[in-house]
Formats: sequence, structure tokens, C-alpha cells
Amino acid sequence: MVSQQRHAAFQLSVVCLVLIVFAFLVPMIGASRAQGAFGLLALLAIGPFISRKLEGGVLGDERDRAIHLRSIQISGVIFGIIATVALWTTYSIHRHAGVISVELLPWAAWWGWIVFMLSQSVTMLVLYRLG
Amino acid sequence: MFWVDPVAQPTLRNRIRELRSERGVMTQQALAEMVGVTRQTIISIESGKYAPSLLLAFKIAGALRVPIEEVFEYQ
Repeated sequence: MVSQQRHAAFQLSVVCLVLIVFAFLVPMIGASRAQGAFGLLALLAIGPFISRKLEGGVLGDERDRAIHLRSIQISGVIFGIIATVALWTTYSIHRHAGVISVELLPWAAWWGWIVFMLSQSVTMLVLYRLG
Repeated sequence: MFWVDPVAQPTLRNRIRELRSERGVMTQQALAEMVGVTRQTIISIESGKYAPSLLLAFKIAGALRVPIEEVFEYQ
């Protein structure tokens, strides 16, 4: 497993942990306060230490860069589709006169981040698997 | 055109595995270290799943001490 693959696996584990903790907290303290689970995303900061260069090894090469770029592109498309569907759904419910609660803003930010990280790490691991 | 026939796609065939064995026990790891890539990249190139850049192709040919056209064949 190359360093970028380890990093993607770690990223996927952190996102899954966040989703599990969030799902666990919602019935107990409510969805709004359960957003605290997203703070666990800070664990992603230790990702670079996991993907550091091993003794005598190569940190990454052109294939790793190509896979990274493609995973960013694919996750960007997934994020764009979901964001568009979410915006159109919101518009179709509220129409021109509608007012969106400001509480939706952190929700949009958290879930947007989760969708992007999840799709990027899964795409990267699949691309490595495909060769 | 949105659909591309995968059968009609040009491929880059290579003789890396064959040339490695001709040069004694040059492992994938040894070749990877010589050209500065990971062993997984050498595996992908050997199996034809990844087409290397021109620069990497020249490096591989240099490490195997043969002209590039002896290693890679465009089909």
C-alpha cells in the first residue's frame, strides 16, 4: 500500500467514524447538537503523518498524482450533482418568497465536506484497486 | 462522441518483465528504486493497466539498458 493509499484509507475511516458518532448522538441529544460529531474531522490533520515517506521508499510518483487528480475530478462532479439537487430541492420547496434558516448553513458546510471527502477517498481506493 | 469503443483504443505493450528476467534477478522493487517510482507503478505498467509518461518510459529503458522501442511498443 503506497502512502497516498494509506492516506485515503485513513480519510475514509475518519469520515465513517464521524458518521457513526453522529448517528449515535442524534437520538440522544438531537440532530442540531449532534453536529459536534463533525469536530472529529479535525483528526484529518494527522493524515500527513500517516502518509509520510518510509525509509528508502518513494512518497509518490506520476501514477499517484494521476490517481489523485482523477479522484478530485470525480468527487468534484459528485459534489456538484448533490449540491445542485439540494439547491433545486430547496428552491422547489420554498420558491421565491421562501426564507432559509441560517441553521442550514453549517449543515450544508459539514455535509458538503463529508460528501467530498467520502467520495474522494472511496474513488481513490477504487482507482488504486483497478490499477 | 460520448461512447468510445475500448477494443479500438490504442495500447502500449511492454516487455519489462521479460527484460528484467533477462537481466538476472532484477526485481520490480529494484527497478522501481532505479527509476524513482513505487513498486505498484511498475506492476501497473507491466500489466498494461497504466501507460507511463515519456520521461518515465525513457528512465525505465535506461535502467534496463535498452532503447525505448525495445521496451515499449505502440499498438
